[in-house]
Amino acid sequence: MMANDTKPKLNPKKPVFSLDLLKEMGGGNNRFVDDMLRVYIEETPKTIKKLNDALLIWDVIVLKSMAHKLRSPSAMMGVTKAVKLTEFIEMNASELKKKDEVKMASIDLINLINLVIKQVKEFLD
Amino acid sequence: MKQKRRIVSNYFMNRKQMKCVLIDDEPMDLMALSELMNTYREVEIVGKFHNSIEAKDFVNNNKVDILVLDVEMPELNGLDFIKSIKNVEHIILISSNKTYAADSYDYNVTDYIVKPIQKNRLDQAVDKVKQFDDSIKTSSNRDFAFVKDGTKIIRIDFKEILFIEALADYVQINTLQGRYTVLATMKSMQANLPEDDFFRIHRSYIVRKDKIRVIEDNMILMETKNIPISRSSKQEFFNTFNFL
Repeated sequence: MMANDTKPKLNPKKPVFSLDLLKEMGGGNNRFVDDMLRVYIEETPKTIKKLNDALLIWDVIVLKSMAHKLRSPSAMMGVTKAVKLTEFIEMNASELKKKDEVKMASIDLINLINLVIKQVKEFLD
Repeated sequence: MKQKRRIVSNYFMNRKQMKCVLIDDEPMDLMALSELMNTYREVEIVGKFHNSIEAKDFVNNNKVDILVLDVEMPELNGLDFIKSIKNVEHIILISSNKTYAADSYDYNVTDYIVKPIQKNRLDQAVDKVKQFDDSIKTSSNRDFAFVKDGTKIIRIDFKEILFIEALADYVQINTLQGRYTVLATMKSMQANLPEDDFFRIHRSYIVRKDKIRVIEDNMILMETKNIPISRSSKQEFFNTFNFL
């Protein structure tokens, strides 16, 4: 799979996340969904920062680890494109010949997650 | 890694709720897991940990029936964590990757779930735990027991057991069909086997009496092995026999 295959076309106004899975998990408990969203906007920026730092110095281990860390929250938030990007990064970061693609995928992931964070904040407000 | 089999040592325990510990370094996953596990009346969450090192102390010093833990964690990952603990009856591994599923068989886990955890998938895992538990309870007045073999549960008929041998923290159940290495104590095994059919002949051996071929001096010849009779057990052992 090429990074470009998963390249998200970002439209800041179009919701990029879905609460379906969180609502299902919560079984009608709205407070649970609310708590999960608050944890998401609190924790995810820290992971994104570490991912960005790893990208700048090309620390493959941290890059893979942070991509991995973002996968499950992305899946819970229904951000399928982000899940695919994390998989691509984790799978290919160790391959030197795919360095440029992994870099591109990482940037795409950072942009996408930042948009999700922004939209979740707006939703909570 | 050598595969170990576990047996529930407290067959007769009247358990109201199974004590459960959750471990995941990812806060959202831990919250989701906690929310979902709380929906099972049979389960009581006694510990939630983001840090597997802290969890290790808790698990090794408390009774835990179900351990649900993530595979990929910093410092001590889920698979190494399993190697470092003992006496947990059921382990449910969770991971964002399917890649560890095959390895999990070597760690005798009850189930392996890929994230994000869905309620219906967790239902299946908890059902497996309950089925095993119910089987044990049902078998308590019968002539068989169950041992765990990877994700399988194997029935062992008491009449097929030749003898049981102590092996450090484990016991080895020698049957006509094969040998099963099980995490249990001799004391718990003895407590759960029919008293009339089995006798603890030595600190390290329990024998099934009708499988004895010959008794000579201080040795018992079983089908495949000579087993020593301890001096302290000898008289009591002979008292259980009806000699012609």
